[in-house]
Amino acid sequence: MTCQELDERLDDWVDGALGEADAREIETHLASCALCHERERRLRRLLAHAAALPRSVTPPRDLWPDIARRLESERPWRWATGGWGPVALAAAATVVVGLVAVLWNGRAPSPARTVEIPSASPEARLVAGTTVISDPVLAAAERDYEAAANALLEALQQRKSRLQPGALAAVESNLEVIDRALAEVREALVKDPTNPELSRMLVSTHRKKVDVLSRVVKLSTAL
Amino acid sequence: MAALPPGARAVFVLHDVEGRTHEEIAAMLDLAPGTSKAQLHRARRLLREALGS
Repeated sequence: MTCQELDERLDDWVDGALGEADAREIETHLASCALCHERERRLRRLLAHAAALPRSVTPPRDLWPDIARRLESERPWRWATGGWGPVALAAAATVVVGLVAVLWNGRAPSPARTVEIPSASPEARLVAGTTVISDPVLAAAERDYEAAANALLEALQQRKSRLQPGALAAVESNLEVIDRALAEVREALVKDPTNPELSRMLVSTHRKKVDVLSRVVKLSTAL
Repeated sequence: MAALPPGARAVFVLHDVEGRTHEEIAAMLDLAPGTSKAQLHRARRLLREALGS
């Protein structure tokens, strides 16, 4: 095995994606090549850095099952805006908002606040948040999530003629609730930029938005 | 990480920070799984070089 061949397979090896024979070849080469051993060391160090970045935390409640249940039981979508799905989603986002208040103020949790679900167009959400996150790593992560969410929103725009108007309105309303939670986390982070729980919550909420969007886009493609 | 090309950066964050599989990333970003792997390889190589020895 040459050094170039090892470089091409190193990612698969550290990810545990190689078969036994290929893995043995890599190990044999690494044992005798200082240059490639150094490559491996750098890669593992990089992955350790990545693993230490703020990552998603399990949300208090997954938003997706409510959407999935309705899609399975009511296809083609007839997701009435007065149904339980949007209410449950609003409640989940409210928990996020409530947690922000607790973490920021250090007070005991208060009863869940009522979140009014406004109607909003996907275009309105393409406008990026104006709050500035001071942590450069977190700011970069947020930009990545926003780029992914915007790409998915554009995909949803292209497929929206396939969706029932009520279903589309419900998805938009639920995304608006998530966006409101994001805005609150951002505001809290500006006032308490070193709070690790707030950082994790920001990433987690972004992830949830991307999750919801990607699944809706995927299902709209399948319809 | 901010200096990475957008596609490579997105795949790196989703795979190495979020722990998603290439199949999940491919479905999310409308890519072939092979493209996701190639973007990850590119991102890791650029970041390794940026980190230096």
